[in-house]
Amino acid sequence: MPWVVREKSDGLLRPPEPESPARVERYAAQDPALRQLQQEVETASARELPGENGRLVDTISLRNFVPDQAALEAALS
Amino acid sequence: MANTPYNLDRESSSLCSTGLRPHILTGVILWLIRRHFLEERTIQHPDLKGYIWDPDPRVSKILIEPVWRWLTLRIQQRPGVVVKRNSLRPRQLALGDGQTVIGTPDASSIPAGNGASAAVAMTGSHTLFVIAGKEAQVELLGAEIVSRLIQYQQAIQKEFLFSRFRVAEIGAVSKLEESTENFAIPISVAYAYVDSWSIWAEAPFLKRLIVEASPNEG
Repeated sequence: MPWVVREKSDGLLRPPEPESPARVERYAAQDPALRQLQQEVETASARELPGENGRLVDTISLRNFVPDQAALEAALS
Repeated sequence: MANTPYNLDRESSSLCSTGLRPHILTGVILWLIRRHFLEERTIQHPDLKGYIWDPDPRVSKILIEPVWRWLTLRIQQRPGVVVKRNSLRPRQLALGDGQTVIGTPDASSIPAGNGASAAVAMTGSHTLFVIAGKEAQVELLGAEIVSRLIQYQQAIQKEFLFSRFRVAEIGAVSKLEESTENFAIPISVAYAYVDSWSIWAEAPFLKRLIVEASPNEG
C-alpha cells in the first residue's frame, strides 16, 4: 500500500484496515453509479471466473472425438 | 523327463505370426500403460505413487480400460485411462503392393499367385483419454503418461515391430461430456507398420471354359 496510518495509542505504523463489505454497501447505496458498477463487476466475475465446474474449458466426447489429422501426419512424416 | 517348452529363437516375437491386428494394437497400448502403473517404483511423479493398477477393478486405484469397457459409474471415484482406436489407413507402397520395392524379384518375372511377396503400409492412431475429477490431477496423470511414451517410443517401436511410433498430440484439458464431474486430456499416438504377405496358387483360377448350346433353346 502506498500509505500507512499512525496509530495514536502506541505510535506504530500499520497499513489501513480494508474497507468492510458493509461500508462498501453503504457507499454504494449512497451513490447509484457506484452501485451499478459493483453489480456489473459481480455479474462479470460470476460468469468469467474458472471454478471447480470448469466453466472455461471446452467439452470433449469419447464417442465423437477425432484426432487432428494434420498432427498425426506430422508425427509420421 | 518333463516336456519343457523352449523358445529356440529368442529374437522372434509372437507378433511375427499374429501381426499387428487392431485388437492387438489396443492391447499393446493397454499393456504399456498398465505396466507403468503396476508398481510404485515405475511411477515418476510422487503425487501419483498411490495409483497402482490391479487386474481386479475393485482393488485397482486407477482404471485402464479399452473404450468399450468404460463405465461412467466405475470411473467416478478414481482416475482412469481409456484407450480408443481411431481409423487405420492402408497406404500403397508402390505399384503392385510393393512387390518391386521389398527385395523380391520384380513382379513382372513372377506369375501372379506364385509366392511373390507384397506389402502395404498401415498407418493409424490410438487416443488415450486420461480422466480424473480435478484439472490438476488430470494434468499430472497426462504428463506422466506422455513423458513415459515419449521416453520409450524408440523401444516401443523396436519391440512391437512398428515402422514408426510417435506421440502425435496432447490435447487441452476438457470437460468430459459423458460425465458430470470429470476432466479429460486426449493423448493421440500415431504409428505405422508394414503388413506383408505372399500368395501361392494351389489351383488354376480358371481351369476350363465350357461353352455349349442347349438343344431346347433357339
